[in-house]
Amino acid sequence: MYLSIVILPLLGGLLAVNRKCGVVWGPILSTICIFITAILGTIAFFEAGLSEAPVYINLGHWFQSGYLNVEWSLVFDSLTVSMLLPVLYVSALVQLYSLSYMDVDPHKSRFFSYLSLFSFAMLLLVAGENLLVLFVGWEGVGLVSYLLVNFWFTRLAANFAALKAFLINRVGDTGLALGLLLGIAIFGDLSFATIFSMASYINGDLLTIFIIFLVIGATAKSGQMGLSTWLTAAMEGPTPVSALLHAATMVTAGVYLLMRHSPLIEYSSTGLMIIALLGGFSALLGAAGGLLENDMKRVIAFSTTSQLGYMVVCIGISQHNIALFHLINHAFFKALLFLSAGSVIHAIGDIQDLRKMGGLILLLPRTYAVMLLASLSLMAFPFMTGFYSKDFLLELILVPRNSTSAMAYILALVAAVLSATYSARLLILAFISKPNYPRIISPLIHEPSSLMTIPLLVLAVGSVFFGYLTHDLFLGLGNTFYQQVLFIHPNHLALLDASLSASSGYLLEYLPPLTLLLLFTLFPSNAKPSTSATTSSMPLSLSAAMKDSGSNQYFYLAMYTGILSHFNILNHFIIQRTLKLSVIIYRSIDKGLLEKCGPLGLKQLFTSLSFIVEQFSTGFVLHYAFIIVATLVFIPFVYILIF
Amino acid sequence: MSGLNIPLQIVHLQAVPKTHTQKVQRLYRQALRLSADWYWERAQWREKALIIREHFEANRHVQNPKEQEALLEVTEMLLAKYHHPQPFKYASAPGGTKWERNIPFPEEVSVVFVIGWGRLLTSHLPSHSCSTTLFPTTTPLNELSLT
Repeated sequence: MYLSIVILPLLGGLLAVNRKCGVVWGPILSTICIFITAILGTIAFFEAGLSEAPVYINLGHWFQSGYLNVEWSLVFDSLTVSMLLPVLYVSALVQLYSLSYMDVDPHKSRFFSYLSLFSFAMLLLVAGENLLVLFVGWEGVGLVSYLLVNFWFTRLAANFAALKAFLINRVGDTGLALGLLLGIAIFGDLSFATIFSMASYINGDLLTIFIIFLVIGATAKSGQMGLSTWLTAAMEGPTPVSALLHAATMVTAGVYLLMRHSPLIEYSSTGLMIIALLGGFSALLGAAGGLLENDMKRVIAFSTTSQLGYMVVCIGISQHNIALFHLINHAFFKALLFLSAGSVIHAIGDIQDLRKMGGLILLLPRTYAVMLLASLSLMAFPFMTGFYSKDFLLELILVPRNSTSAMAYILALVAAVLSATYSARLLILAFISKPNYPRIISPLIHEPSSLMTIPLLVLAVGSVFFGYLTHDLFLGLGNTFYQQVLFIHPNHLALLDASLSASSGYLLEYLPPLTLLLLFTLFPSNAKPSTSATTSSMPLSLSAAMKDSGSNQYFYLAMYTGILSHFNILNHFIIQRTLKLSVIIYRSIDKGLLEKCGPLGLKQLFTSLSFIVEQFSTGFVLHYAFIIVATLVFIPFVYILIF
Repeated sequence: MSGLNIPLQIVHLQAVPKTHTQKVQRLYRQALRLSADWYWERAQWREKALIIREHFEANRHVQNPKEQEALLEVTEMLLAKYHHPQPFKYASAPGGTKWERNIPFPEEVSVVFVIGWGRLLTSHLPSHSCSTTLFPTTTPLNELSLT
């Protein structure tokens, strides 16, 4: 059963593009395969998670080099089976949704094949028992995400976006590969069991360096600050791809990597601090980016960055169980947000711009209802799924009482308020404000088909009730669900303090009302006429245009949007300079110094030497005799001189 | 990607305006679109559109070519100054979300597959996304390419 959890998606991926299955049955078979996998995953959750019976599968020997012995082995412990829930359920529902969403696309089979292969790679990643098997899944996820983003490969924009995603992921992969090599050097083995058993005996500095490499990998994969640009660019792919990649699977890989290495991370306080701050800044950056974005899918993508930031903050404050719980909750409501956004986009003729939506509440009431539920869950509205993890994590951040946690708390709290704001903005612009879409498409607007509605309803149930039903399982005090898979150092235990202390988080009680308040205050702002002078005072001479100070805000706005969505800073300052530096290095060292001392220099030296030697062959016997005699005298002379 | 506005393709699609009237008309159109990018609420945009119209109307009777050139230049500068970082594009317009999605093969390079008993079909793609041309079964394979 456990092996078929990994193998069935691969089979589905192969069946989807099989010529015998055709365009109709290939995708259906692929969907059936992933649904069976989801059922098996649930059984595995009951067995390995709830019944506390982890499974270890050794598929065979991979390679041996010196003392390093790597095997094809899988492990299904409580962390892996908990990851199976979001991965498999969201994959299955996304495939069901895509059956209707991608119905008119001529390359449907290829699409389903990619979806299934993606699930396969992700399952390999979460079930791998050593770092190398994990790395195989990691690379597979990166590759298939490239293929999925580039699904409409005739689109130039999709090509660019896919390349961007792939190349930024390469940065993370480089980090992880270096970590792998360092791991071999430090631990002598890549198996998790060996690595974690040695954690407390390893030099702290080496451990910190190892963790920083892991964090680089997680930063790229989970779209954290600095390497998050690919997440919004990847919205070029079809909407189900966005739901699959950016809700449940690919972006959670980085967080999973960090959670899996909790026994190591716990021994490095510097690593924890870096992770906490990285997560806090990412949460804020993502939430701020979502505020000014006009593309519907990109708003949700920015919110993904923000929510992943929360998970990373949790890991930074050693609360790995909340990170896992928020990851699962986030998968439900974010997949619902993406899929309902897909329904909206599908309904109004592939327009994604929020400026051209509005008034859809009357035409798409069902979609509005599920999107409202997902947004409320996202903004941690009380007793929705998101509330149970997000509220608890905000409470827990303050428990350690140090500067790092205080900074992370402020960042996360501002991000929480901003996340409520951008969710409200999204809902208002798309559904509640006056209609702005072209008149020609209004008769075509329709609710999604029943095949597309079923996944929305299932996910809606998940994003309302899942948190309430399972919060004691994932966060309960003293339960043995994790069986030391998620290790929390005794010094970092905060669960008890947060549950029992009355004073911690006095601000938090006001957070939900604050979000509601923001929701109400935002509503009229859309209809309020602007008093700023852009076109009303449009001067018709250049000098007047330059003096017009009232328009400066638009430059700021443009810059702000530019910084967040296109990362001009990254492009102009880091990438350009790195390229210039590498040109200099290439010219002066690679093609300069090394060439001169190496092959080119040797060749020139031998050419010139042989030219000199050639001068001696004059054709006169007397000259040759002179050279022989001179050499006979010269060599003993030098010999005596030296020795 | 709204960062990729694919200006080159737009340049190819748009013919260079010949007359002065055409130039002014296009600038007016661009100004309206630009204002709609910033003010997407229709009531607000209408106000701005009237103001833009007023500015254009004010200079309707300028006859001096040099003045006309100067006005055009100033308008272009203003359009560039107030440019929107994420201009709205219709889905099927160049740079839109449906642009270049599943382009049908051109007639001259449509791929021909030979299946089974000499039955000749074009690509397996549906007719709306691919030009289908059936060839007589007697045509030798080497003559089928690039027809």
